[in-house]
Amino acid sequence: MEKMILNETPVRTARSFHINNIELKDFTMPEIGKFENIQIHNCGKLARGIEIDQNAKLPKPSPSHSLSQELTNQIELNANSNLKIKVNVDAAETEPIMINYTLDNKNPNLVNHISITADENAKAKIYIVYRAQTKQNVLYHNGLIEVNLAKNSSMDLYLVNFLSDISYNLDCVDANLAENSKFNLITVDLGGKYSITNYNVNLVKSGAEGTINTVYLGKKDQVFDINDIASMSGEKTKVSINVQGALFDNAKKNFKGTIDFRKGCKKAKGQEEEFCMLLSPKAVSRGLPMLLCTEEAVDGAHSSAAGKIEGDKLFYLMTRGISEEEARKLIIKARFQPILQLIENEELKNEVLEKMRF
Amino acid sequence: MSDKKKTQVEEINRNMYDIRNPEEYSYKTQGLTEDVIREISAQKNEPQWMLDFRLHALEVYEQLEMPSWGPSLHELDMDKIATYVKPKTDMKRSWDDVPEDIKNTFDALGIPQAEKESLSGVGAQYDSEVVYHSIKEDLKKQGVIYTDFESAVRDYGDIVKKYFMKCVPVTEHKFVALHGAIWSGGSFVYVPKGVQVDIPLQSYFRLNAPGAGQFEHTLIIVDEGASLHFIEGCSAPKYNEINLHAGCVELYVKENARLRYSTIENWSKNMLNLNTKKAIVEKNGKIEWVTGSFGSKISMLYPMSVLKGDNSKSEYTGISFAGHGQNLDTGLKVAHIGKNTSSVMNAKSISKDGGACTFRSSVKVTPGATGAKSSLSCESLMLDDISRSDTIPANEIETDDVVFSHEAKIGAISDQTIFYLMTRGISEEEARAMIVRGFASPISKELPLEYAVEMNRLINLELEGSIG
Repeated sequence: MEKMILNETPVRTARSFHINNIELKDFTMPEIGKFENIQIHNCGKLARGIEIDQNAKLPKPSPSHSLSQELTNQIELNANSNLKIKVNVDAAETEPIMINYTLDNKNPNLVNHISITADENAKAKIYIVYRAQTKQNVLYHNGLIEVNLAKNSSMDLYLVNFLSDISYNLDCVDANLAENSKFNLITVDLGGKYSITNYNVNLVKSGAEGTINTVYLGKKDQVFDINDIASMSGEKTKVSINVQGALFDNAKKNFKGTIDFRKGCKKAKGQEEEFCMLLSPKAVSRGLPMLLCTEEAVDGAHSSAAGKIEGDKLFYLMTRGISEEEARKLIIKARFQPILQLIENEELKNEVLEKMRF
Repeated sequence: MSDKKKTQVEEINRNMYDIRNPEEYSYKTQGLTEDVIREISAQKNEPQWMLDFRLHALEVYEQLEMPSWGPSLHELDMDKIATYVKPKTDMKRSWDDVPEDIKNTFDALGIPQAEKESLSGVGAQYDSEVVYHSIKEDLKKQGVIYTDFESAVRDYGDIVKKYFMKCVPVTEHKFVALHGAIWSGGSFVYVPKGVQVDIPLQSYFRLNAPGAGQFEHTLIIVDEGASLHFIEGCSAPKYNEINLHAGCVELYVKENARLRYSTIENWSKNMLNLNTKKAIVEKNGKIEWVTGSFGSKISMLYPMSVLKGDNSKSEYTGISFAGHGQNLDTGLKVAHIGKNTSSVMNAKSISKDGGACTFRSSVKVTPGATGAKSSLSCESLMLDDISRSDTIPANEIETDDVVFSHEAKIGAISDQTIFYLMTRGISEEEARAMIVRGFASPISKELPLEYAVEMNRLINLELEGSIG
């Protein structure tokens, strides 16, 4: 058993605020064996525009931020699933790629490293889904996805975490955006005793645009630690972070969102919004929405809110003949809907809605 | 619109604050050791309990680490700080008895005049000791106590012992422990039950000695149903050596009481301002913080409201203005503990000429604090591309029956707003100046009048050019 400190914020604040990092106590790093439960769909149509190499030797990972050096080292030395995805310019017409990792008793530990590059003007949508097929064993996922988008390219990346609520989901995305490229990250975070995520969008060149849209739902003793970092250094870059969640039972959430307006990002715009619906008196919500700025002509805003379901909304729905329980569900779903509707794959969207039933 | 002309927001005119008197003292200690603490305590002829307290605080200081966050404090070397500088005079009750050079300094700062015109009591500290203290007779008759802290330890020992460093325990952080070990000077205020002090009291802290520290202690108790407006001002002339301010303010706001605590901080740019302030607010009580931070090289200042009683309230209105060489890291902490408590924060900052402003806050709603409401708003204005402005607000919500919201904005002056004003016949320069004045006005209107005038003078706009 050991103690592991993860997910440091880019700028520290007082320790008494309990949000600079998250500490996993009594954690034992598992032995990493083989992982064989990976399925990649739509391969037939990939041939023309997208190249996927499951046996690629990937360069040493070098994310701008990571969950910890120890976890990055594990990815470099012990990854049991490497994927190299290259999106060519003529991939625009292909179907989305669907990558499914299923963790079970025989494949309980996944350490995956994914490298995604998009050529100039290329477009792609990639879904990556983590599922659990066992409720007995503690499952472990440590992942790193490195994304490099060339000029004028665009990518929608969907990450869905369906792991069991006794698992560890430790996930990092690091995206570098060239001139006028667009990157949309849509994440649905439902699984894990601990789900600790670190999403970095680096808007390096002018005109680049990025979004991070996250939905999470915590039950029982689940803990979510979300660290979204947008670093803006290109002129006229834009970023938007939107995190919506709900906590039941004893669930806890830490949201750390940083928009860093760096030197050179003139006329950049950045906004972040976070809302946490508290559905139990024992749930805990922590937030740290940061704006850092060393450039003059920028436009930055953030808002953060937490609370229970507003009584007047409940009352309105109940006057329309809807029961209180149904009204609550409707209000929660309505909060999530703008992000969930970004999931174009109907089958997956329905699966998400099914898993979110409460 | 011209892109080239820039409106200059002038550097703060510090002439009146930079008056230096020759360094004259009757006693002085250097550095921080047990012997130094024993000497300070002996000089003050303190009771044993206070010496024991100081020595315990020194032990805690030695155990605690420097902060691992915020501005770098690497320039602070406690061995080089003059920890106690006793001026060449005792405390006086008349300005005529105060030595002339010291009196002239306070005259230049406008303190005696403000006392005549708009205050009901004044305390003036020079280096480590209070040199002047007064209170109007009618307040005395109502039982209001306003005195220097040394006299309070002597004359009101029981009450001081009950409250001293209970609100801010020495274990809270390293500089509170430092304060506990070497505190000197400051004010003690007690407002009895039901007494409304309509005209403010003011304590002014002046640090003249180069390389010195000021560690004044302010303890205010506003008893049930009473009210008070207390103003704190501070300044120092500029030297090349580092000066240190590590004061401590403890405020007790009892049931149904109200306290407004206004601060205009105008330390010189060689000052490390590491002050600690906290208020404990009982049932139906209210604390109002009004803060203007303009001076110091580095400030780390986060007043805290502990909303202990049901229906207690906190309001914070603050502005920071950081110019060349300044790093002002300020904000507020609030702990909601009682039921149906509320907190409102409104913070603004302006950064220019390479100055750095950080708004740092924490709102904690504890598990039993049902019905809590908290709203926080902060806005930052960057006047050039060599400055820095950060917003670091943390929140921790441990109950579902809460309404919490926070919003922040950062940016330069918008061309669209200027265009709108110009379509109404206002010149571009005036439009830009109006925007900056308007940005600061929600704060300046909360300040006492003479300070509002001073703040507007500090943020002195030169209308010839343009921002942006």
